[in-house]
Amino acid sequence: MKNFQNKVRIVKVSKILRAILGVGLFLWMLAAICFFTAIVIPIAILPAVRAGVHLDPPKTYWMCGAILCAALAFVVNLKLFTFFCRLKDGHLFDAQTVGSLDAAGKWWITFWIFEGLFYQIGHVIFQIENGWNFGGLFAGLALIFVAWLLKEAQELQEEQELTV
Amino acid sequence: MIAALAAGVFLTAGITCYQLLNLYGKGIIFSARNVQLFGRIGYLAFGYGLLNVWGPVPLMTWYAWMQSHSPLNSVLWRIPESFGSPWIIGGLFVVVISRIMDEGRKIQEEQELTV
Repeated sequence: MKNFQNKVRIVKVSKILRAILGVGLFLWMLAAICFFTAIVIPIAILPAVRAGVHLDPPKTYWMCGAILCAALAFVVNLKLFTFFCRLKDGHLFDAQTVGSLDAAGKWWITFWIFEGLFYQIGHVIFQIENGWNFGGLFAGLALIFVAWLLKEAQELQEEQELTV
Repeated sequence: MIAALAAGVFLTAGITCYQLLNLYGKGIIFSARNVQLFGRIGYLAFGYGLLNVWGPVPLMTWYAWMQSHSPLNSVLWRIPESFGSPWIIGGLFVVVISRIMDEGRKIQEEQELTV
């Protein structure tokens, strides 16, 4: 009975987190579209921008980087969303659930590296304010670590199923 | 006072993390203590997030009341902020992980009994 109650709790909280991550998916997509249109619309509408007369390199750099950042954040969000979808369906210890979490961690570290390069290059060349920190690296490593732990549990469950 | 509370929560979380990593260092992965410590970290992160978002509200309400403004606006903004707080979401995530670890612990106990 206790086992069942635990699973119900996991499913309940997973539903809440999945809903929040679903909103996050939408917002990251919207952000990427907004940054993209912010680059494309002036080029399409303003002839001076198209001719390269009124180019603003720092702003263009910022916008292009922001599109890629939003795309990477979207992938991290998507992986976590998949993870909670699996949990919501009651798949606690299977390869796909663990794989989603592991992938989320790896993508988060990729995002952190890209963000770091983006801010460092922008800071040196265009004097963009440096907003880089180690939070992303810590979060990514923590996710990978938790994925390892879940992998152990997955192996235990597989062994138990074989024994039974 | 809020800063002191936040520092206390941080310190407790740090100590709990140390204890948890100590257990992992000893090779103990699925035990009741691990689950308890994991859950505690999750609740502390969740509490810190709540403190961060809702902590300044009484002060803001008081200021608004002193200046004869409606405090409702600033309070209402705190609701979406709660859903976007990485500490609150992260805390909930860790709590879920602690429950999953509890399931893992049960599997291990069952397996030990089988063997």
